[in-house]
Amino acid sequence: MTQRIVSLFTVLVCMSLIVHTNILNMFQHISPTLVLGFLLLSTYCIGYVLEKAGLPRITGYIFGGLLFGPYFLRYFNEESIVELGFINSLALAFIAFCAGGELKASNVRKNLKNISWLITGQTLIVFLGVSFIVFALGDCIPFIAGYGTTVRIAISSIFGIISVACSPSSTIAIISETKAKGNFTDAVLSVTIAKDVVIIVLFGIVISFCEVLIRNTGIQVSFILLLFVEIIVAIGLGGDFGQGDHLPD
Amino acid sequence: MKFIMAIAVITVIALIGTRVTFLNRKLPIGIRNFLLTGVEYIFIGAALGKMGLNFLDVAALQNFEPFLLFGLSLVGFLYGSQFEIKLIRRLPRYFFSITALQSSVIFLIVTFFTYFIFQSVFLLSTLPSLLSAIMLGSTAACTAQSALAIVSKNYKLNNKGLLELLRYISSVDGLFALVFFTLALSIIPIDHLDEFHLPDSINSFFITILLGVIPAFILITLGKIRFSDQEYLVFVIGTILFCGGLAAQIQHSPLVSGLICGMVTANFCRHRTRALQTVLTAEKSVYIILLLLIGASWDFKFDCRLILIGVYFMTRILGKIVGNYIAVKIYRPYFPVPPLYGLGLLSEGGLTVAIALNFQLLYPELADILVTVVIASITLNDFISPKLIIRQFKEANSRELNWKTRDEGRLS
Repeated sequence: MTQRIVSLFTVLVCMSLIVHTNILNMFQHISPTLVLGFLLLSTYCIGYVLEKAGLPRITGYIFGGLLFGPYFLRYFNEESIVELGFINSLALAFIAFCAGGELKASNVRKNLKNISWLITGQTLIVFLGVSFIVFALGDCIPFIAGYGTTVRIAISSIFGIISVACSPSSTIAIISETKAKGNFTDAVLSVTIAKDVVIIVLFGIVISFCEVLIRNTGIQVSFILLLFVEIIVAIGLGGDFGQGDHLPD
Repeated sequence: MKFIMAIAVITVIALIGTRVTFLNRKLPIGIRNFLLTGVEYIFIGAALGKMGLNFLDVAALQNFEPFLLFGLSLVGFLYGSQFEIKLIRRLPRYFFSITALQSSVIFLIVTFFTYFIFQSVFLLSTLPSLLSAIMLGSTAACTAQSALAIVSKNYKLNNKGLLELLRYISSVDGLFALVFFTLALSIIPIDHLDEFHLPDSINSFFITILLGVIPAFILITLGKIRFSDQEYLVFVIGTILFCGGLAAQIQHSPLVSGLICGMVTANFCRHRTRALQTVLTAEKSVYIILLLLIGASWDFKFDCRLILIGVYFMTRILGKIVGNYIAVKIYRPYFPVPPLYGLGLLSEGGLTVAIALNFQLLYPELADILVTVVIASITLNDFISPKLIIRQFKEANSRELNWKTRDEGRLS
């Protein structure tokens, strides 16, 4: 614990000297490399401290980002976040890859009935529930209040579909941290990942539906088709790579 | 999107490269040294860059800056973490002295001549000329091990002492190159290219040292806890990024701060071997990416820089011959050494590229000429160095034979 706190302190002192003082005549622009290194080291330490307090490490990482980010301690600004955007894209691809790798076809087949029910239940209840609440509270939400019923339905359905999504990265992080195994873990992982695929398709459908409602255009079949093609290609590529012929020994 | 595509293309090339490059394949020896030491990636980079398809354009290269900083810091760290004093002491001390002397002579000769070229041909003022000349002097002092490794695998050298000396020089002389480079950057800090200020230079030197020591301290402190392999990977990558980022933030060299960080880690960290191994896993890929990036940022023009290429190439050869000859005459090793054995140390590689890239990062206005010189020199040297090494090996073998015959004659 002491070592981590000493490391965190050292990193914070360095960053404070650079960002909040002018003793070294630095530029206002903070190097994205520095931000990345700083975040890796500092949030690791915070994650550990929060783990000792009984919280998952990922909470510490999120808390670290929030604390040091542009809205609290301001160790880096929005510009740095934009510059590090490519890390987001790459990380998302890696997370999706890891998540897919954890999803064993045999487990999914074994629990297919449960998984289907869980996905259907969650999707329907959350989607309908959130959509209904947003629609009902429309008058209290400033940017919805001015619109008519049709637009309100469109906005609430977008809210509804977004709220169904959950984060495979957090799920994987917590499973890996707690070293959880068993049927429940498999089911949670399968539901989280499969639901993401369902959400992508539903999102496309909902967006098309909203366009029909708002602009009175026809349903964009090409958009939905494109989504399906994308998913099928991804499954095909994943399946091909998953055979293991392309992997190093 | 273009940047993500650029990352994808570069990653694929680097991944394929790590599998096909740096291997001992059956190719003619000159081509083998050219193909398998990674020089080809400079030209692939050039084909992708502004001289070719412009896929890696200026904007994409600017976006690659975080990776460039990480790569340079990692190269420095990797180099520094091999300097564990306990291990270095095991080899004969005069090897170190020979290396130091020959590196200094090469550095002085190349710096001296190129300085006049910068002043008289490129019409640069005193400090930029000196800085550029010192940078070329530093790169000239580096030797790549690849040519020596390839030749020694295929040609038997009976004189084991000489082989050991050549290997030692080619692996340690980069340290002196980096010391010269650090001194140059400290003496002429980036914001004082017009005038020399001694207090600023001293200040800059201490900051450079501190930039390496602080991240090393963090790594050493974190290394005292119990951790998993994945956690240690985070520590090492975080430290290297932090080190490179700190250096970039205050416009110092990430390569040098990485080197200092690596040296401190090598001598004070409990898990020094683990740190080195962690970094070694990424070495080849990072090296290939750096080569691609230097190739992509290369802007070759047929103008007076050809004179500089010629002067640099010739003075480097002169420096290698003179420096090594003087060093051997002074320190007199126990084994016979051919007088021109310095010609066996012409190959240039990783560290030269890293110094050039670092210079480009700090002084983009001066770097164009220097990058051209460095790339031309690496290519030329990679073609000629295997043949020159073989010639020195043959010479050494015949001297070894004469030496033994003379000894036997004396005994009988």
